[in-house]
Amino acid sequence: MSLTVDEPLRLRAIAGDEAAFEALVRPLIEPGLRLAFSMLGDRRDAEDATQEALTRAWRKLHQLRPGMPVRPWFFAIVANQCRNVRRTPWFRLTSLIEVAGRPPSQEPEVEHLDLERAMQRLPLADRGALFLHFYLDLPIEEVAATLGVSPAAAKSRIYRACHRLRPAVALEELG
Amino acid sequence: MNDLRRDINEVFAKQQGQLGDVAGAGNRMLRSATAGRRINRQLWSSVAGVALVLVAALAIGVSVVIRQMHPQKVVTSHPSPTPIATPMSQALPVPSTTPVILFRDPLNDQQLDGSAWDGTAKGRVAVSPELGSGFRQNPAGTLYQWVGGISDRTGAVVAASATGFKGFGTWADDGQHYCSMVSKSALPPAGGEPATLQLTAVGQAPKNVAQVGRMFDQAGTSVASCSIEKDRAVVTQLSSLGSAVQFWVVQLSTGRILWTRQSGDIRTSRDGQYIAEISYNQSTGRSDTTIYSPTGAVLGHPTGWVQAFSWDGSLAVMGNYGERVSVVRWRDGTVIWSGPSDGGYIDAMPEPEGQRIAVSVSDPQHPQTGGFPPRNVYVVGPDGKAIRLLTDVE
Repeated sequence: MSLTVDEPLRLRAIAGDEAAFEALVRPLIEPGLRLAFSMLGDRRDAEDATQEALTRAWRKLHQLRPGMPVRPWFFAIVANQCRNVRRTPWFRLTSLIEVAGRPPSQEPEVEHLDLERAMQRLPLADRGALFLHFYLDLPIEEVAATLGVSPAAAKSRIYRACHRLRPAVALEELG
Repeated sequence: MNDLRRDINEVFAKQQGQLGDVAGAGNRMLRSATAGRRINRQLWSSVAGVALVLVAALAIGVSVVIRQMHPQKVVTSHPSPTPIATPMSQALPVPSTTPVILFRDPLNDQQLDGSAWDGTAKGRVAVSPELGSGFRQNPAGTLYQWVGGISDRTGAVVAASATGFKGFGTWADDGQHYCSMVSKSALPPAGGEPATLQLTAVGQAPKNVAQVGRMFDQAGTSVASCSIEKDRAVVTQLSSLGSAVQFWVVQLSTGRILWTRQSGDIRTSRDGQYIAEISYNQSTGRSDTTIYSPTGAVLGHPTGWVQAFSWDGSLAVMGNYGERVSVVRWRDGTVIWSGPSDGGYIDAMPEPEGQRIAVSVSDPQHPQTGGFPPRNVYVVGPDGKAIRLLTDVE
């Protein structure tokens, strides 16, 4: 996937060409939804966040400047929307209800269960950074752009998250 | 590390398995996302097009969304703004003619708020779902243009703002007129077609001033400044990347072209008295500026990139996008204020009829987490004293 937006496509999309907008963001919807799901843990909330992110991207497309890569730009909107969702009292209430009412996993593998729980306890941005870098395989630079931090800070955030999950992980091992 | 990476991915994969089939989600979301904007497509495309090419022009009050206001870190002894935790409910407590900076409420982006330039008065101006699409205030913030038309500070729509296919244009310095570039076609044919400069008094029919430049499918013309006081507009021909390649100084009353020049990117004072042409020197890796009078006389060569002027043109905001910004008396090069060393320039707006200038910069304490860079807005006086008026805004 080309990271930098094709300029005529960007301009057409800004001018209101829905086909151009679709060409820009369609490949990003599924990974965006998966990013939202990894951050929110609920399909309905993830779809709402991704939907809202798409709407915002469409309305604010003029802020996608020439040469700006579209993937981290869109993922940044998704991640921000997830943070907004998490901040609402309604989300906190429904999340508590879901956690309380969730049946225990069948024969969980203890080590993975521990890891799962530890990942759930990670700050939202740290979990998002892990998801972007490990699961979506985004390079550090794009993770940084998505999170709105420097590459060094993104790397540090991933390292910190890994260290929380497995304290023995050393910084130099982070690719 | 590889083991941990694999284990983390297994946890993510297991979690993602619960997401189920997402194949149909994209179409539905795309349809829903574009539906709202389609209603106002023609007008919105105009607004977006103008926003694209006028990045540095009158933008602070146009698109800022305050997310938080912090009273700390005020850089002078001026009173600090009052922090807020909920959307503003009090109407803006200033007379309707007092100049203000308009912004969207931090907790409700469908609400438009305003702040006096000294930060002593803030309040709600209007609420509408369409305000999320953007707005463009006149210099004093007494009127603003948005997709619903042109409204005053009571929120009442006072005029329709559709002026043609290529957008609203630029507010004139009297705040009661605007200059627009229009073309015959929504989608100009190959080779483009002539563009026309129009002057419109709010609520009245537009008047054609002159044919200047050409409109193309992917590029066009724009109004850099429009001055009733000085009877002139500066019109730019833009490349498809949005930078100027030529400009014209046009007399509004006669349509006469006073001067034109093939140029690099330009910035102008609100009245077109000063036209700063920015050139990039590849050998030094620096941007330099030449400041012209409206008749082409060279007035100065400040080192660096001029981004904006104060109302009377005596002060210039200097600094490349994303770099440290300063406010300079450009005639003698005196730096009267330097922005924070860790903040990068975003945009600036002069105080109408005043000597202050609002400058917005990025803040590493508030990294970009969405599609729009958060910013802090400083108001800098002619003595170099500044207050941080707004914090962490978008």
